[in-house]
Amino acid sequence: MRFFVKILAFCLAGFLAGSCYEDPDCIDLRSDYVGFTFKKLFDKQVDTVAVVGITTSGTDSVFYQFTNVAGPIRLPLNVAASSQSFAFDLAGGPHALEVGYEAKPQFESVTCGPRFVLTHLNVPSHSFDSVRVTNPVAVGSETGSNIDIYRCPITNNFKISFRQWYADDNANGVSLTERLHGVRLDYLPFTYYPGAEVGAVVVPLNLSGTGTNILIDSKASGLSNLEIGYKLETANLLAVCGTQVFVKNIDVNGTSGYDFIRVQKDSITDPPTTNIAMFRCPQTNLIELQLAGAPQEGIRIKKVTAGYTPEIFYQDSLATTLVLPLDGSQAATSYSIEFEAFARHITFGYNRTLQAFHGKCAQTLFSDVQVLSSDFTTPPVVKNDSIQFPSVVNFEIAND
Amino acid sequence: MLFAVGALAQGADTVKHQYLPTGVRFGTDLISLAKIPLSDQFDGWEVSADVDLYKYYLTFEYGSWEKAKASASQSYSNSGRYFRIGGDVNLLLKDPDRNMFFVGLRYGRSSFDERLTYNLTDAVFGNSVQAKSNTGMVSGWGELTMGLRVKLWKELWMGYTARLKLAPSIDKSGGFIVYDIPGYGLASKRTYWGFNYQLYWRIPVRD
Repeated sequence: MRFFVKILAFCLAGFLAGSCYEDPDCIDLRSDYVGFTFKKLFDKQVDTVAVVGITTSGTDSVFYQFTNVAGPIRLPLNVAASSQSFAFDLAGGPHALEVGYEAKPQFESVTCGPRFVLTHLNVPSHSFDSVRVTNPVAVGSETGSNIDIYRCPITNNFKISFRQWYADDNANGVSLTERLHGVRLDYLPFTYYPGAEVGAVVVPLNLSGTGTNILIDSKASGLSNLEIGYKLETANLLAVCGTQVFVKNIDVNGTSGYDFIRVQKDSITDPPTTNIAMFRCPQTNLIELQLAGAPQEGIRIKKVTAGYTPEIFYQDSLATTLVLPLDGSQAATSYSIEFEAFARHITFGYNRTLQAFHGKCAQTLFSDVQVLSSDFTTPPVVKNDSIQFPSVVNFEIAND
Repeated sequence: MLFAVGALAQGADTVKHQYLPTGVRFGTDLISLAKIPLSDQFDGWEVSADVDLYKYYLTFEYGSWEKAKASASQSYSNSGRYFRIGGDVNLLLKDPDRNMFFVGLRYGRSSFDERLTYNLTDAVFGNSVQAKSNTGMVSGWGELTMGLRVKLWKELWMGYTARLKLAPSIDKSGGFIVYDIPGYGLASKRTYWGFNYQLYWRIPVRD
């Protein structure tokens, strides 16, 4: 009997101690966001979308303002409601989407406050091409997605890439960053890429006709007037998109400040791939003179002139190096360099060799470059006696 | 089923032992009664009865359970009734007083209502006061039990029952997620410990 009483007392004490731990730990994670992922219907891959702003019912807040998104975006859901409408202001146009859901509070303890479980996410209405709910349970603010938003293929995005050829056998060259004044199309009143520094531009071709004129205004390459011709074909590739017009057999004519234009793909893809590449040949006549002892901000130059051209270089500028074109038609080129207080003259002699690159660039190569005459007090120092592209320092001069 | 199990387990003893009740015990849970004055969050009671069939005991328990929790920003309360039905096996067969050390099984079922009021603080959509309720909720669960029953004096018995409560079914039809199931405890826990400290009075029906 005494044995049983001891066991009873022991177990009762254990229960009373254990009963102190009834309240669970607070769960601070919030899962009251809906995640959207923009995708392309054609390949089901994630799309990059330029967002002007997204608003939602119940608040004046604007989300993802002026942002390019290339993955899931997450927006807050109102836990006191059962549906919420979203207005997407995208660069491609405005869209609306409504999300329905079931929001239930979960009491945790009086110290924690309720958390919320949002389930049964659905899309009663939308203006996109297609949407699909991939996860019906709301996510946190940092990870996860619930709804894929699909768009039909864009069939007229035409891509032009700027390329720089080198004095080598790489037929594709390297990407050339152009500083543009802008790009204009003959059928639209807009200027694309104003003041942009880009390696490629994407512009829409006119699907109402079989040609589009594109005017590219580049600071370095001047005006290029491209006449893009093509054929149109209608097809119903995706049921949700209906019948679409597709572009094929693209060709290009016109004038440009570029040395060569190559059609790389004669049909439109989504996402766009380069349709035409515009190449510049390497400049193999640029001699580079380093101004010895120049401060970091450069030495003030009034102007530089060459004997064979009326063009003026480095007018009223600060420079630490001078990159100047040699005269390929003669065996020597003279320059006059006007510093702030005095002028110096220098003449370079060289050997010339003609060579063709990439089948399109007939270039003059300069070698054995030497100073024929100079009135610099300190004689110029030879650093490299052949002209390279991109340029390298050939001579060091001192303005003493 | 208990009869069948007993018959299979005992084999030849089935002839020797008669599966007839010798008495009925009626009891109450002292912990529930003690918690009423000690806790401002709980109000409830539980009564139970068992009847012996040789070393097997049929058991029925019935209770009432009310909980209330509140802070400045929210309050929760529930109220409901529950029952458990099951059986125990006494492992002390040779005790002359029929003291018990037992293991057993239970099925529990609860009908209850819940209410939740809270201040919703939302930096995006604004603040509001929300009230939700769960009405007519029903949950069921299983239990593994073990415990003691000790004869104190004449027909007065005392004992405890420790319970491992398992796999509650959660009613999802309410306005918020079920928090506390009368007779079970926190609905968020798939297993839960319970403990009763019980006082019984036995009414003998035969020797």
